Amino acid sequence: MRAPASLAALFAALCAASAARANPIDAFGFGARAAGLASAGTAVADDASANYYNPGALAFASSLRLDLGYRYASPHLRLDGKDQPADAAHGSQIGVVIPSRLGPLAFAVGLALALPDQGLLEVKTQPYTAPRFVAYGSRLQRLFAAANLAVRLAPGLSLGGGLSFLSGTSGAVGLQGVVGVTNPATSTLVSRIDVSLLSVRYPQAGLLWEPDPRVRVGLAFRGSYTLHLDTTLRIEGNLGDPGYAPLVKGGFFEVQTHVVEMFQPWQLALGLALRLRPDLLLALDATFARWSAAPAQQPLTDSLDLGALTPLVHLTPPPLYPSPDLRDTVTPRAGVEWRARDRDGVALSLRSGAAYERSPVPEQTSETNLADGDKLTFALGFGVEGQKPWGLLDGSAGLDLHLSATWMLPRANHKRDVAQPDFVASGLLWQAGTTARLRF
Amino acid sequence: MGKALSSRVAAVVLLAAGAASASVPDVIGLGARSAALAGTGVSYANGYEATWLNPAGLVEAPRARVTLGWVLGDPSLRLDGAARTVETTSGALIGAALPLPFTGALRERVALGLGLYIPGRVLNRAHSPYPDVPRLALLETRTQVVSALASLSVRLTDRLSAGLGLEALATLLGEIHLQPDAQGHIVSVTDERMVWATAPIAGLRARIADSLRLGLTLRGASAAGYDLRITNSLGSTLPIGVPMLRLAGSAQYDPLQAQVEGSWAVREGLLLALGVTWKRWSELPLPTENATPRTPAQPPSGYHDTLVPRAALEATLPWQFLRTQLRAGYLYESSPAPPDAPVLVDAGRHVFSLGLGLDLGRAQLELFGAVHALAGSPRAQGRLLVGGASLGLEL
Repeated sequence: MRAPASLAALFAALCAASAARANPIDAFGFGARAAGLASAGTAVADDASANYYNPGALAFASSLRLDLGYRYASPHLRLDGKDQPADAAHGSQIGVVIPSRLGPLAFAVGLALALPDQGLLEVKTQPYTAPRFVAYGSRLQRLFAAANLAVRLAPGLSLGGGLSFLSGTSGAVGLQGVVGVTNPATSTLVSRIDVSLLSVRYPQAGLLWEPDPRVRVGLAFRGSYTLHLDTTLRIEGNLGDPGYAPLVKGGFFEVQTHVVEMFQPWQLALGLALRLRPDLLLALDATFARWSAAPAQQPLTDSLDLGALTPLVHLTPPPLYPSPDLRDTVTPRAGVEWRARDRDGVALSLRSGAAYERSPVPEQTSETNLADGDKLTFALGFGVEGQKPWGLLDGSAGLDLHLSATWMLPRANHKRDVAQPDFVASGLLWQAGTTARLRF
Repeated sequence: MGKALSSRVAAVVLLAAGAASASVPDVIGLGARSAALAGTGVSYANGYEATWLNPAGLVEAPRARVTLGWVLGDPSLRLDGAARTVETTSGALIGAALPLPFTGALRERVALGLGLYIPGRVLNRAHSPYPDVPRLALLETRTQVVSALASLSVRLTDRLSAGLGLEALATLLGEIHLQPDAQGHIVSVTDERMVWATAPIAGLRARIADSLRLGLTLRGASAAGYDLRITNSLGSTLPIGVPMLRLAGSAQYDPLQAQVEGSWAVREGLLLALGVTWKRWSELPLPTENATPRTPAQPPSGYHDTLVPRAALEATLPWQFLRTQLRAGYLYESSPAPPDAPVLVDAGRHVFSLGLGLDLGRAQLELFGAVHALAGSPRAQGRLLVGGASLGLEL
């Protein structure tokens, strides 16, 4: 009875494990100013980008701030020196900071949204053993949303935090009808679904301390989350051809799966901003990410009833997915901002930054082929800001631009089994973006 | 029997938004004040609820305001005499009205708004039984869907303002291809994408006199669905052929609608609002499409367009120490379903609403409750009790 066994195998194949992935803001940053500083923003952000880098910094805003931006990222990925297909990632970024007071208490509300042009979400899966890039796959095509509240605890000290919402899924899908045995095109099937997107909440918080007008220290925490896809598939009906008695009547085949679709590690970022001169700012960041907590995929369970044929069926046991054995990482970042001109109500700034991100993925020595490597980023940025433009604002309007390149350093993966081919992964990511800023 | 689908298939279907039904703003209303006033507000709302009711009203907000609220609903529904298992409604309302403090020619002329309803546990629910199974098509999961709205409002003249907004929904498209690998195992390659499906909301508001305002809102049909194709190149890998399968359907649907309304300050402290909403339910798509081409076609829904009349009264009590408003409203939502609908059953709804508003200075506390009583259908009976509260804070 090969058919049901094959169905089980087929189903198992469809449960191909997704790689551990994080959100796109981890890869690209938020806002052109911070991106021009190689995302060393934990102690520097004082605009809508603080919704990601450090919610505590929102309370340092003195007026309503509105940011509108756009970014474009183009990955060029290579396996054994051969180019691999990779989609560009581009989209809008929108953020607002609303400061206010309740009596002596200064506080601010912040909202931030990153909207990929390609859609809210993209999921691509491949067979479990197929080579795939962990860092620059579909992780780039995801909606990011953050909402925060920050308060001034004392002069020079603020605390902020919020919740982000994502979703996991749970439910069932079924097909019912007749499957044509000799000619599949004669099949007559209808479907039903009962599936829910369950809310997944994870916290974010930040602290910003300004002991001196020339020094800021920031600490930010971003919570971990895991998106699960818990699903039941049930196929029920007859197996046979139109006009003939069914081979199997009123049978069913049911499979339940528990798939980890997405994982983000909790992160702790420590930042320091030093104003070395009135026109020169140095930003330093270090971010710890607990990738080692990435869960393994869970096996599926199945059941069937094929009437008299049931005893003849030998379902192939599903594979047990090994732990991905990811490693914790610490990513250092450094940026410098030079205010090149500041007179007549117009200021020009030049920025540059660098970051080194160690890959959480170990060398691939067994059947899995997670392609990744350490990443080295260099960034350049430019900003212009004008006070009271055209008499329409009491504050200022500005425009930031950034350009960065991230090299994924070549990594050789040597297999223990000589039957499995070794491979080398490498890549280059170009990114450019702009943000328009209004300070009311 | 069975062709293999997969958890991956299931999963992607599940990522699609809600069921073939509408949203909380359409069923209950957006905002505690509007819900207490029978869903009116097209002519007077100026808070975050204007993102749904009439974006033109945002520019009338005197200050930036953020609002947090909660909505609860307890359904008790029966179909053909049998009780239906319908989850309670429970979700958070988050909103912001943000007049932009430009100076010069743009002073007090531009505002932004954001409205969000987030169901407490379930962000979206896709629930659709097999096509021949009767269900309460528009009531069983309508309130289990997230709603996100954003708007821009511009004051054109001292008496006329206009607004434009978007309701964002998600539609899932994709393909799953099955193929054998070099070792003969069946493997899959999937590419699924959740893309934007936006519905426009446009509005106009005119202040005809100090005591009379008119509002007009046009909301585009907000339809979100899923469309996944499962193809294969398995050849002889399986002893039986696998047909191409298509999982497709409508996951969420609010019809095209136009709402016109007038509000009259009958005297100081007393506001009367009257309005009517036209809903184009005749375009309702089928909840699910057939999975294979040879499956016999499903009959059309037979739904027709409807008119929803609304009336509401808001009285401000002359208390010096605490500005208090009492509210009441009524609407009748006629059913778009034909009386003899075999599967997609529905009923009309009489909705009676009450509410209370307390002005606490920079904070506003709003409470509401409503009863939705089903009527006009021999097969569908029951009621829906709804209540909620919100706290707004001016920044």
